[in-house]
Amino acid sequence: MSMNERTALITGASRGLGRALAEHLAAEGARVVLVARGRAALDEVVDSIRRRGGEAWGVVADVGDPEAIERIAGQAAALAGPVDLLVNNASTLGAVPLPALADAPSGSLERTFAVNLFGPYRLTRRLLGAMVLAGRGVVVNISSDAAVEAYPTWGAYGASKAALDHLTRTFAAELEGAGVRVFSVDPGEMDTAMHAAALPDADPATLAAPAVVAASIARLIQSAPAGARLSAGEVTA
Amino acid sequence: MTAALRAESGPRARPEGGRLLAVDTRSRRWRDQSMAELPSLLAPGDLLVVNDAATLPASLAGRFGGRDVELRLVSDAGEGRWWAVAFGEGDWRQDTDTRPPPPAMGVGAGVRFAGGLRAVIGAVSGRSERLVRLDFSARGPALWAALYALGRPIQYSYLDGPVPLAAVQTAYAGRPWAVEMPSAGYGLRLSVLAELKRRGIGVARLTHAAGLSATGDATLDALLPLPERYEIPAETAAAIRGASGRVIAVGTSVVRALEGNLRRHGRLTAGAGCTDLVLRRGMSLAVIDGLLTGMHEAGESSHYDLLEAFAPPSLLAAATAHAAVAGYRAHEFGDAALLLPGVLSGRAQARGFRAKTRLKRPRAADSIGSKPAAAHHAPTSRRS
Repeated sequence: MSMNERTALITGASRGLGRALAEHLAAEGARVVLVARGRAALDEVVDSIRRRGGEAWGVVADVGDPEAIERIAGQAAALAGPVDLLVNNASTLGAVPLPALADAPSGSLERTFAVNLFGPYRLTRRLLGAMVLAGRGVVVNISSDAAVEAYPTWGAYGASKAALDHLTRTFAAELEGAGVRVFSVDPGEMDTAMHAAALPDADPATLAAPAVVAASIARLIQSAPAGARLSAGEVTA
Repeated sequence: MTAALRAESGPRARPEGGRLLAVDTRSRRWRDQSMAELPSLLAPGDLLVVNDAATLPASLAGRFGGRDVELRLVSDAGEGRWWAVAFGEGDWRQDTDTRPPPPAMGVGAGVRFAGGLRAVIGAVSGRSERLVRLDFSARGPALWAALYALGRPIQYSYLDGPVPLAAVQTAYAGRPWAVEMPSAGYGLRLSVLAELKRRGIGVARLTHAAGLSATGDATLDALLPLPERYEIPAETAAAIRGASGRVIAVGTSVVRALEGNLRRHGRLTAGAGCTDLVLRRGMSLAVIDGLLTGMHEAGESSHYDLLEAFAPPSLLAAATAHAAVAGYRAHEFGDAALLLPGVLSGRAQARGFRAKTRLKRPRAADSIGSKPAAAHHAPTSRRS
């Protein structure tokens, strides 16, 4: 199925990888619904995609808020039609500078899981049914190498992403034969605001540009097998 | 003495999707099943057609002429305009029929809503002065954002509490077109949909803007259901034409869309349309062989009468009496019934049914022709 037949919903789409993905998918012809918390930044991205001839809409919402899920799904379908590509990209690091697990402020682990795990879970289950009905659909969960390696101070973020990877595999097992692919991607280290917040001393020259990673993920959307956990850096053109 | 069906008084966490009363309209027998067992009741080649409309936040609290009013959206008239039914003060605890009427709303008057949204009364229906057209101050994405911020789903007085919008959605809800939940599919879990597909049982979708079940106005209630828009995807029309087995509608909105489409066009035609078809006893159905429906009480709703298009009144009454004694629950969040000829005859019978259908059905590439439906249906013309 080519990208110009797809309707995509991308969370965390006002900056970083989410923005790059929305721009890339729109340029390939997908209708894109962008979700982000801040209206001004979101409107700016939506307008810039439209100026280049893309079809884009913005929904202001926090995926960590359970009440927001139905609003996101309803507005997206009303504006762009049934969603058949979901990219769960929105993430939070939690408290920054990143604290050791035992030193994390009370409630910060819960907030990290709300945004990185429960939000993607709720949005996926809300949108999955229409994909199963249509017999086609893709759900991409953005993961991290911190889901696999135990880096000091990355515990809350890493645990949320490890759990997201496991949800990915379980969804894939349950949906075998239903025509819907769910997979996760480790985008690698990118030159984004989130990376700068976590590791302010990193040399940007050593980091991948989000646009390059977005192009790799766009190729995986067409080809990645269900249940896979892939690295964007290993995708070749 | 007949026991009454009890209402399910709220959305319940029932992973199995609830109970299913399988009613064989050919042998006039029934059997207690569960929704999870639906795949075992159908055969490869059968086709289930669902209404994938998501439920709108159709109940809007507003202020008009210094009074609290509720506007219930009825249909999208485009360009930021919606037809709506107005109600006076009150909340979900109050039966729609006993709510005070709204103040008279003349053309040009304004309604204010939360969050700065406003509307002007653009028109008043000749059918009832409570049916008004709201011309909103926003349109497009801004109007949708406002509706989702301030609107709630239409509530029901029999429930034990108000329900949030997420609780009145089917598992496969897509575009928000339905004013009230297309509840026949409420118990259809994703795992059941996936299992149906694995077994070669088709599941197709259409979108039908299911409308209000009650308006609080006897004149308007008598006109229900109002004409409703629908859209049949090309792949669904093709799946129905190509179905080697039985075609089962999930809910009467699907019946209205498909049978209405056929009567309008002479053949099943993909695309958008509007149906004013009203189902009634003895109506010959040209597309649909069976119905998956929510449980409804006799005499309680006009919906019950629609079921008589699928089964004789004596069988419906007997099966409903059984359901009441057996503790089935009724209404939006309740249990379901499958009305289907041959459903309890086993898979061998289902295959025999398919073979017979295939022999009789003229196959035209662009038409579903004149498929004779189930054995109990009189031969029908699709061009009536």
